[in-house]
Amino acid sequence: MAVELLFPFNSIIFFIPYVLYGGYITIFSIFVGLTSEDRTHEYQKSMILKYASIINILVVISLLFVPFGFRTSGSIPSDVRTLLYLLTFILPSILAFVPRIFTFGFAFLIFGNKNRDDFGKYLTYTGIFWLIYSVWASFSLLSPISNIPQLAFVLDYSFNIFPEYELLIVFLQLLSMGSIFGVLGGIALLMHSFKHNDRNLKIAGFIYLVGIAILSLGVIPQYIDLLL
Amino acid sequence: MTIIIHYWFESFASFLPLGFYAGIMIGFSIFLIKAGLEKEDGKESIYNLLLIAAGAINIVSVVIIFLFPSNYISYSTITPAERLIINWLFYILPSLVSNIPRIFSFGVIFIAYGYRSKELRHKYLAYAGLSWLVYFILASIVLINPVGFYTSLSRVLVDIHGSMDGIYVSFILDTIFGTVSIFNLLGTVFLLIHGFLQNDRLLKIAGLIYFFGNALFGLSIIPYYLERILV
Repeated sequence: MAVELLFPFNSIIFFIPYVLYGGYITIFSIFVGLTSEDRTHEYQKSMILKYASIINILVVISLLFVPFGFRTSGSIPSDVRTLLYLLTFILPSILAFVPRIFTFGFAFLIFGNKNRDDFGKYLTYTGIFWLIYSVWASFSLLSPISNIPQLAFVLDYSFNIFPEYELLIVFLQLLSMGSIFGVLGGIALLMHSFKHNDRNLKIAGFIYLVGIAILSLGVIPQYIDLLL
Repeated sequence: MTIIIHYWFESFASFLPLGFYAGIMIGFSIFLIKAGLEKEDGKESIYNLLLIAAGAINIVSVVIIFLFPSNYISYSTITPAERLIINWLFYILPSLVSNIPRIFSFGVIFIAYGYRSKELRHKYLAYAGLSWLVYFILASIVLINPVGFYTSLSRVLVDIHGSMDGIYVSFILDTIFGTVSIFNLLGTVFLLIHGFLQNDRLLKIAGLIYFFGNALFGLSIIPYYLERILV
């Protein structure tokens, strides 16, 4: 029996979705971080966005060394298999989204509140929406590379609570509703940036929304692998 | 050969997705029409008529979908001729009937309405129209289904090819074609930006209905799965 852990750096199946996720989060973070260098808007406490951006980029780099899947040759004990499934479902989600509670949620909430008098409420709304989204994503074990809440699979593997696959689909549908808050956060950020003509945050907002939309392309290598 | 055709009205679970979708589109269109009925500076304008026309086109294009069958079950091998009819009846025609009119009702009309006055500093509505123009042209090509938002072109292509690995090819094509929906999201975002930043109450409500309607659409298929468990 042999088990091979699949990381983004040793598996093309996970490398391409990792590049898509890492790429959009990194570019988004660079533009958010540039807000601290913005002298035209005179934001207060803008360094908080710079630190949040640096943490986001460090998290993206660390995800490179987290297993997203595994391969086995020969038979392995079922409890080992379950453990490997749980490891590859839970670890990437927790590492990707728990830091975002602070780097997306609290960072924008604090930054928005400090600038509320001069720049209105949209940045605060961004922080609130992203705080809810990040907490939900951490709880529902959202996969950073496929936008699927994996809590349903973890519950099924661990406790076999979905005897019918239709129930699993219903639970997935209900759980997926949390992703609305991610999009709402992006829209509120764009509203702020258009209202105050903030070029950096405008680009960051568009990259965030487009990034979520193209993330699904990352599953293509998995389908090709199954096809071959 | 036996093919059983199902219609939307046969059960609550099969009706709900289209009913929900029709509700979104009719709600959205009513607010477009109301916005069109409001006179700018006390004057009637050709542009207001455009909004009313857009709302009316949307309502007609969604009501027509109820005339199409919702699903079919085949109990034997389907001949190529029957396959052709099924593809047109279930995938191609419903997509074209819903998407092509919206090239005008969402795309062209919003572009025209967005550029209605030279004094308007912000052209968010024109950007919304441009995004929706691109979206509905692409949606007509990849045959985005009005109910479920999946791309029917992948099914039709895989069906014509008849490959054993069709399901994976269909998934891959679906994923690629599905990315066109980013333009739908951008159109909605620009409509909301216009509604909130220009304090346009009616178009703000229209944008919120369209956004939350699309985002929550997945909930409408839950009764269908619950019904499958119970039957």
